[in-house]
Order: sequence, then C-alpha cells, then structure tokens
Amino acid sequence: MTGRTGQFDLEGVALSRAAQLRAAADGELSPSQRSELDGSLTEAELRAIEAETALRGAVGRLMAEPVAPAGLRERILGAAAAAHDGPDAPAPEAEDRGPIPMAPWLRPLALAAAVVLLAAGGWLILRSAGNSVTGPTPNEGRVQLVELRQFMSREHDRCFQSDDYGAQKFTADDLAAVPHVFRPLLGSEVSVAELVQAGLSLRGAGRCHLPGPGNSIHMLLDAPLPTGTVTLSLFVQEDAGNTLGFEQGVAYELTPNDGQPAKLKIIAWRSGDLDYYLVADPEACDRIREAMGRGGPCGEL
Amino acid sequence: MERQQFEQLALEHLDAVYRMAFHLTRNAEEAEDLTQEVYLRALRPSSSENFETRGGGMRAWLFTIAHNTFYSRIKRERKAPKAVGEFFGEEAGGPAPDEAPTAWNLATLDWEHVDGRIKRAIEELRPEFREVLLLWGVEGLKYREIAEILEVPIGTVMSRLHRARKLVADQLGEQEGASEELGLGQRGVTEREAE
Repeated sequence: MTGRTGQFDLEGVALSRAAQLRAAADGELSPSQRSELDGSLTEAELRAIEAETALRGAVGRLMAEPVAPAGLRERILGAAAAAHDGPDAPAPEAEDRGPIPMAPWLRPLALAAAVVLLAAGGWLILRSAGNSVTGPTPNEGRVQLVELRQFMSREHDRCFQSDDYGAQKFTADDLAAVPHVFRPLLGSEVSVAELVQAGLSLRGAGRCHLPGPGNSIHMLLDAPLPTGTVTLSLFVQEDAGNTLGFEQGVAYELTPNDGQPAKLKIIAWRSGDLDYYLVADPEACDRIREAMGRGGPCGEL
Repeated sequence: MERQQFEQLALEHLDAVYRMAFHLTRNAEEAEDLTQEVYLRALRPSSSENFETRGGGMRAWLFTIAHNTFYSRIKRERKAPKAVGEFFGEEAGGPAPDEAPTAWNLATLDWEHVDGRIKRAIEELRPEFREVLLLWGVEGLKYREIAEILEVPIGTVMSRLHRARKLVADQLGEQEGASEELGLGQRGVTEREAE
C-alpha cells in the first residue's frame, strides 16, 4: 500500500500505524500529524477510526452512571467534621489513618456534628441507665454504637428493598460456605450452626464496612416464622480490640429509644473473635434470637 | 484559596468522584465509603497546599486521591499484589501492542443492542481497565492527563487503554452470532491488511 506515513510520536513515545489510528480517533494527534495521516488512510483504516470513536462514545454513555446518592454530601461533611473533632470522634476507616488535625474552617461543622453525637450518646447513656449501667461507656464506644445502628439500619433497608443493591454487594449465597469464604477477611469463621438451627436461609452475603476497626460482612437471611417469612440481617465484625466492651456469650440490645416505635431491633453479641449484630423487626428479632439460642435478658453496656 | 471556596470547589466534583469510586469497586456501599475517604483526605487542612502546588485542576487531583486510596486498600487487603506487567499480560499472551483497532461497519452497527453487551463487557473488566476507560470515555481526558492522575508514563496509559478497549471489542465479537447481529464487519484489521 502506498502513501504510508512515517513514524509519529506522542511525547516521545513512537506510535505504530495502529497506535496512530487510535490516537487519531482520540484526538491526540497534532494537526500536522492528523493531516499527514488522513492523506494516507485506507477505507478499512477510516472505518477503524470511526469505530473507535463510536466505542468511546458508547463507553462514555454507559459509564456515566451512577451519580452520587442523595445524602452523601452531608455524610461527607459530617464525617469530615467528626474526624477533626478530637480523638474521641472516629473517622470512617479510622484504623488506617493517623490523627487528622482540626481545620479552623471546619469548626462550625464540627460543633454541629458534636452536638448531634453528644445527643445520640446521651440517648445511649439514658437507654443504658434504664438497664442499670455498670459503668461509663468510653466515648469512642458510644459514637461507634450510634454509627453502627445507623449503618446497619440503612444497609438492612437498602438490601431488603433493592435486589439490585444486594446483587452488587453480595458475593456468596450458600450459607454453608460462609465460614470458609469469609474467613480470610474476618480472621476466623462465622458460626452458622445456630442460623441453621433456627431454620434461616441465606439470601446473600458480602463484605460491608461497619463502623469500627474490624473487617465485616453483611448477611441477608430469611426466617420462616409462624406469621410468615421475615427477612433479617446479620452483620458480623472482626473484633479488633473490643472497643464496645462486649462480653462473651452475653446479648446486648442496641435498639434506639427515640420515643418512636422502633422499626428495627438490633441485638448484638460476641462469640469467639467476632461480634454479631442481628437486625430485624422487633417481634421477629426476639423470635429469631430465641430460635438461635440467644434468648434471655440482655446484658448491660 | 479560602477554605469554604476550597470545600465548595471540591464538592462540585462529588458525582465524578463517586462515579470513579463506583466503577473501581463495583459496589455502591464501598463506593460511598471510598468517596468519603477521598474527601476526608482532600479536606485535610494541609491538602489545599498540596492541591495548589500540584496543579492539574481539582477534578484531576481528586481522581488521583481516589486512585491512590483505592489501590492502597487493595494492597492492604492483599487482593491485587500483581505487578503491572503481569497484570496486563504484557509479557505473555496479550494482544500485540501495535495491533490495529477493530474495524466495525458503522453503517449496520445496532447500538441499541450493543449497549447491553458493552456494559456487561465493561463490568467484567478488572478495575484498572475500567478506570482508564472511565477517564478516557466519560471524563474525556487526554492521555497526558490520565497519565498524571494514575502517575504512570503516557505509554502505559496508551497500552492499558488499547487493551481495555480491545477486551471490550473482543467480548462483543466472541459472543455467539454477535458479529452478524451487531453488524460487526471486518474485525481486527492487521498491519498487513493496513499495508
């Protein structure tokens, strides 16, 4: 074939003929290079350039979604404020970061966030007081509890309401395989015997990011109750320091007490090196807890 | 730059950062967490100095943080320890780097049906491939800009991008009957043919 161009280069990188075509499709050639190339293009090469251009358009269109979910901006601002509000306020993924100094311009936000956190912490203290508190919970633990409750409620609702969301999140659907599959992540095996004992079936399980310093997973399960099948969540977190002060074999209720009827009840317990959080509607939660052999009164935090 | 201006400017790119995070993680929850971590790093008091000395614009700077944060996580999780050359099969079995672009007959290409196939093909790519496709296809960045974000030589960007788009094209062509259905004409024009 006649009319082939000489060697082009792009910032010192020599371009083969094929790379020249791709660079032409991507608008990377200089005007003089493009002009020289255009003068020697075969029909097939011209189609190739057009196809690459079309592919770029399709990729751009198909990857343009999704956009940031509603509330993420506020969550970021709140987390940024909390992260800068002293050592007691843990930042997300705090285990991987060093202390972050407080920015003067973030102080108003930090103050607002602190008020919210203190109010939430106060609620937890009052809640615990009703169950005869044995001692003050460290502030870090209180904040983590609030974040845990919010996170678990949100994630339970999302996965329950949207199969697509769950499909993105879950990587396992065999209950028997869960201990093995997630052992590398959690450092020890999830106990599923009591789930089987309670007749639960697994909808899906996958990694999640519970607040706190340990890796975690989220399991969405169906429970056959006399009133019908109920969907519940079981979050399992690697115990990386037991910052919440859970005792082995004791169940704790983390359900919020904000004066409103609770939509979800949260029961937590520690077993081995893992913390478990059962999330379900209040009546079902108690039934499932009993079926799992985790009944009886709740311990105190 | 005033702090509030800095924050405002950074948050203007929230959708783009989240989109990159989503295409890296393929998980909405992880994407939210990654985006949040990116912004926590970006909004540190010392970060504005880093941004101003680095240049390249806020969006590119945030992309760099997202890229570094994501791969730092991967390293911590010991999930992607492979060297770049190994990862991209550059030492064995990969397509020849000077292989010509796929030639499609655009006159008969049915893009309505192609979309789903391309989407699935993209979803099956490794994050490094999706990342470069995103920066190229959605953000419309030049090779040089992508290289600066990923902190790699421009030749590496060209190589990754070529391999990524070829994998997508190959996935389309390998599906049964796809060539006819999609109107894919002469595929894989070789150097010999081009000559």
